[in-house]
Amino acid sequence: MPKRTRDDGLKDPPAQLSAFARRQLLEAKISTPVSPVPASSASPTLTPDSSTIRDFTPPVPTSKLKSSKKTKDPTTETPTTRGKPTSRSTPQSTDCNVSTTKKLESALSRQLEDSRRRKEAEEPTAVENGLGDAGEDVEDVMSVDGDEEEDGVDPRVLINGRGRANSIATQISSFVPTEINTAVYKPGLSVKYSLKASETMVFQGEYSLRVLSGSIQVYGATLTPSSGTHEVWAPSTHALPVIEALPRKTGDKVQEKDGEFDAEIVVGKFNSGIRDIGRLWPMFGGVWAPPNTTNKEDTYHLLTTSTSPPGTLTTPSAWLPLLSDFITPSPQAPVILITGPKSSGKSTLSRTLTNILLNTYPKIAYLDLDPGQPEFAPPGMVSLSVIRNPILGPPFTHPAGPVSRESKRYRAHHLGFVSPREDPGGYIQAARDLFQYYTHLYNSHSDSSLGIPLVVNTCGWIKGTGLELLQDIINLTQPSDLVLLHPPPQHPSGNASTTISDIQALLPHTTRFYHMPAPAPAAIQAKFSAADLRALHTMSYFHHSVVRVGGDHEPRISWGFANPLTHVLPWELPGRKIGAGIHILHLTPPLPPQLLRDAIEGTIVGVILVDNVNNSVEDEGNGDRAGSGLPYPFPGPPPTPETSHCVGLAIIRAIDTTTHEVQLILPQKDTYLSEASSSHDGLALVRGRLEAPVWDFVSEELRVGGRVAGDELPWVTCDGAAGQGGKGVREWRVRRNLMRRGR
Amino acid sequence: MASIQPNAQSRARIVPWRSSADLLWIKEAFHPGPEAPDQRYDALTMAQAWSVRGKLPHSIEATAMLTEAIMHDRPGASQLNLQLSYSTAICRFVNGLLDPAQQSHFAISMHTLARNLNLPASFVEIRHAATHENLPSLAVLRTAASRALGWLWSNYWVWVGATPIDEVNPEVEPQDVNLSRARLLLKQWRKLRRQNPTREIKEGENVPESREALAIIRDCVGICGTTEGLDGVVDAFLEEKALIPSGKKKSSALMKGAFLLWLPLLEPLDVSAPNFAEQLISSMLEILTPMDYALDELKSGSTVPFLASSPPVPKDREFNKALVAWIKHFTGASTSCKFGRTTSPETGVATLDIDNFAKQCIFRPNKWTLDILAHIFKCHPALNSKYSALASIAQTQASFAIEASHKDIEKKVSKTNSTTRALQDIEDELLQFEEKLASMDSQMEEWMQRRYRLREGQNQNGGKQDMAIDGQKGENGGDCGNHKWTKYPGVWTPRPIGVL
Repeated sequence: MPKRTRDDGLKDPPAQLSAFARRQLLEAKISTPVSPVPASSASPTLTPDSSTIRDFTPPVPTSKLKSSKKTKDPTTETPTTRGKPTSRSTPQSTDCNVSTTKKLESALSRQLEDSRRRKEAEEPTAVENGLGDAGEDVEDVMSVDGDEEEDGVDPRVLINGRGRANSIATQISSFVPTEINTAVYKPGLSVKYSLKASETMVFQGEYSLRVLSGSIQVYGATLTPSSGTHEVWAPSTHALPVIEALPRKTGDKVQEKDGEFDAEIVVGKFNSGIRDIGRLWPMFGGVWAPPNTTNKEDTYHLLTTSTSPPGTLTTPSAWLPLLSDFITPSPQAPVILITGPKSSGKSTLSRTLTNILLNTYPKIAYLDLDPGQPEFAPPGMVSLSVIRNPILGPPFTHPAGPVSRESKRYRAHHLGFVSPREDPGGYIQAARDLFQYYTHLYNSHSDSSLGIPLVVNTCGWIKGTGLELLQDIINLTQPSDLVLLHPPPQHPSGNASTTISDIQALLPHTTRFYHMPAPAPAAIQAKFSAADLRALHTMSYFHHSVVRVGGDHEPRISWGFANPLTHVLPWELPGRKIGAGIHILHLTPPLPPQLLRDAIEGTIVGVILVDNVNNSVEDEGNGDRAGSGLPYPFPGPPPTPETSHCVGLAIIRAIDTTTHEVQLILPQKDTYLSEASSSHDGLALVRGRLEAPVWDFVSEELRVGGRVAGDELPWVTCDGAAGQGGKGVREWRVRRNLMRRGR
Repeated sequence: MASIQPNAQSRARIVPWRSSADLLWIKEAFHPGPEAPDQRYDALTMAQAWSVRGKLPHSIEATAMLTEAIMHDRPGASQLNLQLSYSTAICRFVNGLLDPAQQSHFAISMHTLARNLNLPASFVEIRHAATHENLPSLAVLRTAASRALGWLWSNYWVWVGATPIDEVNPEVEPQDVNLSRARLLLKQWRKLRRQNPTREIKEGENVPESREALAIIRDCVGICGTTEGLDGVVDAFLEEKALIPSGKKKSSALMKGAFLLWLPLLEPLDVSAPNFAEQLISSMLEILTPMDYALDELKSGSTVPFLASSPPVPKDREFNKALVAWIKHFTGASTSCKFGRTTSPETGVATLDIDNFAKQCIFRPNKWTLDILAHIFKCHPALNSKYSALASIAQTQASFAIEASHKDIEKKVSKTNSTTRALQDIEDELLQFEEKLASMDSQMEEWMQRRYRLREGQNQNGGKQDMAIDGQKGENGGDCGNHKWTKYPGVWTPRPIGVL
């Protein structure tokens, strides 16, 4: 099979491609003629178990679609010039696919219309702000200091970097509440909204979402009455999801008197506790409601118009061809690898793609290989998750993997660093083990005849060693599809030496290659620094708990931010129970044991379980090792991904050198912890270099006093005490976006 | 959220050292005195332990790397190995310092950045050579490493443990900065020259010692560029272990040593730093005549009570004797001492105007100045004939003047202290105390409430956690008690992380 180059979004093969690639691209276009079949003639008969396909409605006339497209984005003018490898689709499914494509595109094209409208109002466009991804690891450029809140300036304006709120109010939701379309559902709890097709709603805050009739689309997921209730988290740290009503299916009764609405939804108050994070970290207190909100009771707010519109999550038009390729199931579940430099929209695309796949497949596997901005694990970890429900919130709202009652749904490895840079070999080892776990799941699953698709999100390091690692990951996972989001040339990282052909050269022949421009640089303007979002994620992790409530005993996630971690009852772990030792990564020779406290007390460690630990090691009695009573230094290297896995992170609260006990702070009632607590396998605590958020060290009393007494709190200082005024006071943070003149 | 002012919080941050005492410890350990035991190895190990916690401030990291390289520099060590470790340490010292200074979108040259940070350009050169050219020679690297440590001391470490910066006045007096920098330079000079003070310092000579000495001179001249800097350098010179030898008795032998040690530094300063000689000698005079100084202040009707300003603190006899010895040396016959004899190209006047200085001494007669005058008259007969009459009057009045001034000052002081302050000030103070009391009362109340709430929260937390443990027992069947994790038994009172 010839290597296929998928670049349907562009009329001509891009100039960056090599002549060889260009020729191949043209051949591919010719050899896979397309069928611009009028979708209305399609009769979906395939896969009765797929609710998505059942809900198909007559698509929007092509002419309308075209006209709306033409005005905006000529690059997507020919949405139908896509070829399908014959192995993946039957003739019927092609029809079906086209129809679905149309539906998706019509929905998405309306989002585009909105964005254009916004542009006309001289505001940042929706598309431009449509990325939930964080900024680059550039500390100096966009760190927002809590200081600024004191000055009476609305923090959100500052945080969003969008101080230019003008008097022109921008329409955010196209839905306008009236007496007819809005009704109280349960007094004080929920509201029923009736939407016409293509009407959109944007909420900020957290809410529960249920479809009463018809169907809606949110973040790529199609929800119907059978989908049940979903919790949606929509803080302004990330782009806000847009709910859009899909056209009603003919014959589908809507229980509205006049029947003029296409979908009915119930939006309810929902209180997981996450919104209280502002009590500990004020910077994130204001992200749950629009500025000047008067009603503090509501957990969510419908955004109709705004003079300083938040970013909303719309899908860039360039993504449409790609996304529409994954609407139909294929017997061979796809393995989709997403790559691109930092802030190119990888996470957003991965989430959207996962949600779209969930419309078809009952479960998706998500291989999360970005330890800096992980989706399903706290920072510093890589993981494999099995996902059954659409992802309807930013990563920090599911900080320890998807919440579900499924047993085999998660495996993680602790890297200890937010980049694979420190230990590329260990990173690949971890990826290999996680992929093997996926293979195992795939081979043993019995849920449906459909396979389990795999979405692989990678870190944004695609130069030098990063490119070599990408090669390793490609060789390992043998993706059926690879998506490269590449920045436009004027992007700060646009001078990256990695080109499209560099990536293409890595691909096996069987892999389909998509490449599409990352959204314009304005979109990448992040509101919070990557380090802030990591700290937020870490805090969310340590304050979350998974509880089983209600008659169904469905696990639910909730948070407690009433107090910093200084108030949490710690676990006490005798040194002898840490059978696989305490390890500090990348430190040779080991520290003298008496310095162990100085090195790791008050830091974050990975809690690792070693499979089939050698009993003789454990029986040796670690109690007397090196006189410290704690298994440090431990003979032997830290556990490897092949023989261990990480059950979570812990903070070493304190080390008692007299009783040789380690006090640990763990997320409350973490389901993984019970595994660690009861396991017969060897336990190891591994210290990488993850940073603990300062907000959990500063206790209430000090905050009330308005002054932090530096010496009273271990490891906490105000700037005054640490040689402030001298030079080289701060850590050496690396800037990678520096440009040189004349380039 | 509204109730919490993020003021203190936003300034709080996590640092690798447990307390500021630890930071002070490492400061001392990295910079052992001549007699103190060498703790640099311990300091390196501690710095390594800290680096496990998080990133170290660059200056600490650079100090550790340079120290590590220096400590490897023992006889028998591989030359290449040493060159590599010195080079890396110096490159990282420079890069880590200059990279964060790249604030603009486009790269600024290293030399410009270095100038802005007051980092000698030679470091940038060595960095460049080590990266792109032949590895610099071990001799160059050794000098650079020790100069780098000196730079780090005067630009970072002196700030560590400096008197805590007051909230109200976060600006440290610039003079203090200069003083500590100058102090350090003099300390380096002393260390460098003590062994062989007569050794000549030659410009352009490729001897590490000469180069370092010249560097110190250059740095001192640089500090003297501003008024505050000049004050700082002069003050540093007038301390014990600087111009004043540290011995109990400032014998003439000791003084001779001091002359030998310091004149090679003083003389180039006289040549290159305008006003240095004049400032130095008039500062000496002020120390020798503290009462006169105070008297002048009071007589001139200055509104500032003199105690609030900072007149030179009267020094002890031996100290003054040393000063007199210096002045005598400066004002002696022109052949014996070149200091102060530099003539300004425009006016033709020497930097040290002995005529004028003699006049100053006559105006402030006491036993020290009269001693100096006698010396000046002996060495400069012209001045003797000009001023001897005045000098003898001054001598006869000296004792009276001192007595009178004593009484005068006492009166003035008691007046300013008691009467003017009395009513207004005391009332103000009372008001302040009342306010303080009120705020403390309210704070107390708040704390009590908070404690109550905390305890409630605690109970809730405890309850939840008990449930969690029970839940686990149910799930696990209870057979694995040996491996069970346990929670802290008993009541948990919130306490800082790191405190048992």
